[in-house]
Amino acid sequence: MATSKQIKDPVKLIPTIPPSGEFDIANFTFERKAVERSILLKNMLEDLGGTNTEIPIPNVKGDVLLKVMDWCDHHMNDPPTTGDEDNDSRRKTTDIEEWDQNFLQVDQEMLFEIILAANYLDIKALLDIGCKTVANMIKGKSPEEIRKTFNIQNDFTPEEEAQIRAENEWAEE
Amino acid sequence: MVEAAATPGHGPFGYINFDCMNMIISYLSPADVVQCTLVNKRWRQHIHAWISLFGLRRHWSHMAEARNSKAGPDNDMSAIRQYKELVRLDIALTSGTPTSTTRYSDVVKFAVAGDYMVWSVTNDGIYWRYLPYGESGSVREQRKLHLSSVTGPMYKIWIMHLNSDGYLFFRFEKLYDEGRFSPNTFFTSYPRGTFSDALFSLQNGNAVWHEEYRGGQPATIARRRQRPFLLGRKRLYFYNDKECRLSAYDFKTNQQLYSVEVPTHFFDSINSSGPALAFYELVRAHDKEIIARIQKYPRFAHIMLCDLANGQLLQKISLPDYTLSLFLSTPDSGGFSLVLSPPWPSKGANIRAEVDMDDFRFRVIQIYSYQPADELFKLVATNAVILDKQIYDPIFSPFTQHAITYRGVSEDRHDFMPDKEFVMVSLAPCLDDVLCHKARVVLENKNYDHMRKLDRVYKSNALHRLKAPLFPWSSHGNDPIFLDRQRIAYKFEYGDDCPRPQFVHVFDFSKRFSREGISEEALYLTMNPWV
Repeated sequence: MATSKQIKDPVKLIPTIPPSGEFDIANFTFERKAVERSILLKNMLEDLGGTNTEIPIPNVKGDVLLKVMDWCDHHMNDPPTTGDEDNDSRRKTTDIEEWDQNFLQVDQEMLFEIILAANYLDIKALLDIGCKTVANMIKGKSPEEIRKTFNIQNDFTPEEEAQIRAENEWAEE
Repeated sequence: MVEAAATPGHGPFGYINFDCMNMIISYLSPADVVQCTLVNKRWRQHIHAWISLFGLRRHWSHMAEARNSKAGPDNDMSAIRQYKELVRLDIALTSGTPTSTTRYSDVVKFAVAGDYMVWSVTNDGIYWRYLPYGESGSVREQRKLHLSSVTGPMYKIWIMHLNSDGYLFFRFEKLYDEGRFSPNTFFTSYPRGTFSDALFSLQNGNAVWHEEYRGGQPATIARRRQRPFLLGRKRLYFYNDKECRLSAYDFKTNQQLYSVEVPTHFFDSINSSGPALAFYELVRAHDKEIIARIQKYPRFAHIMLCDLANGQLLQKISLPDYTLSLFLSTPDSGGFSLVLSPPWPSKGANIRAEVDMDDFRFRVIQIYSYQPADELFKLVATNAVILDKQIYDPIFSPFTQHAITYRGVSEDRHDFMPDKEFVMVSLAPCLDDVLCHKARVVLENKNYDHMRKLDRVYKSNALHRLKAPLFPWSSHGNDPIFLDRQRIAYKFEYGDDCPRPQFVHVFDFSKRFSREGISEEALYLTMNPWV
């Protein structure tokens, strides 16, 4: 956790939806380098100038923010992403590295929240691995298995279902 | 996020916004994408929206390019249908299981256009088959053309051309002496004396016209010099090597429409050493018939495009540095694609250090699309395909961008000529950033800055054995060819007789049954469009 370390250049993030349980602002103080993994926050920090180091975060729940910042902390020394998808050759691998895999071993709701937060805060690498993780949960599964995985109701009427099944018979091997 | 209120019961679709969901879908294979359309209504709507917006472009980009040129009111719906059909085909092709395999024996020449296949059989005449399956899913019977009223009892076919409407042109020679079926006759490439040209309609089996050109007459000499090289949908085309002349005839009347001199380097001069290889391909775009003449050199290629309506030169395309492997054109693509081997960086170039060349092979696919406003073909996309190590010299389908290739199956490593089998290779968007980076490093190197940036990078995905008879030992196989998007043929010769008897195998991957009473539109409209 960020608080256990010596923070050289602290930035405070104030979530407008505080985390469940006791809210300690000390937990929301992070290394500037980690915060700058978020392009949104990086730009905000630049706009605010050097003095102000408190940023309110309106759209991300406190719990999710802590989790996301955990990731940023671990990856704060990664080379920055350019944001240009075509030229960004620094993401060197398809597979998700082990630390990230463990990091994303969370319940589904948290996983989806992390993806949304990464999208909102503009943290491309985190968004990527989040989306890959969900894609991996879908890959190679039948519709029924997908429903089970995500606890989804099948809301097709029996007629529709029969029709769809006939149309996609070849896919159900 | 606050504005996207979570709705349970839909999995990620209940939480995640459109953009993020699209990112997730883009990591799935086409087969997975189709499975996702069956989960529930919300998924179905979203995935359908994704398919029509991004799906074709992601997985079959050249199809998407073709679609753009003919936007229509039902474009979205047909995009979904087209995508699903391609997925079905992808599964059928890559599992290597054709819906039928037909074998044709003693085939001398064969041609396929549209849904028709025509082949000539040694000493027996011309047969044809309508390729789509019959109502009960059966393979249709082959039929024989009755030519004898035109050809006499014995004849030899020299040249045969078929068009997609089922018209067959052929040039033949009447034979009066059985002895002329000698090996010597076989190896000459052209009739020397009297010959005839004829056009038949396959559907009614009758000759539309036929004309005999008697030996020694000036008209015959002129006609003989004109080599028929293409039967279009309205015109029959000839070229004359010596005079560099392109001629077109109304195919139903055999009346000349035009005869033009084409730029001198359109045809090889007989005496010049000429290019390493030159060939012709037909390109169809917006109801135009265009001839592409391709000159291939080891590290250079030159393409000349002539409008066949009047024989006028439309465009020249030069490809310095590249070795052209294939020219691919499809009736519905509105253009053509080139498969190119990229040049390797010269010795000492920096990128050598970055890219291990021995470990890394790829091809570049350039997609050209016809722009009616400019009457020109424009380069619309440059894609790379990174090839698996096991893949040797793949042949790409111009339709689906699948590839077919060989692999040796002999277990004896000292076997001089191992048995070979065909393998199908599917191409998928390459998600490996290292490989994509390597391809870009090679292509976007400053030495080749005439090359536009790579749009997409594909990877040859998997090897799937084509469930097909193997080459028999000591036979001489030709490369397989993609007849159309659903069918593959290969031809092989066997034995030491001359001419060698030949087999043609046709593997058909099309759907056997068209299911009736299933209207995808009806189903789609019962659901609210995704917003």
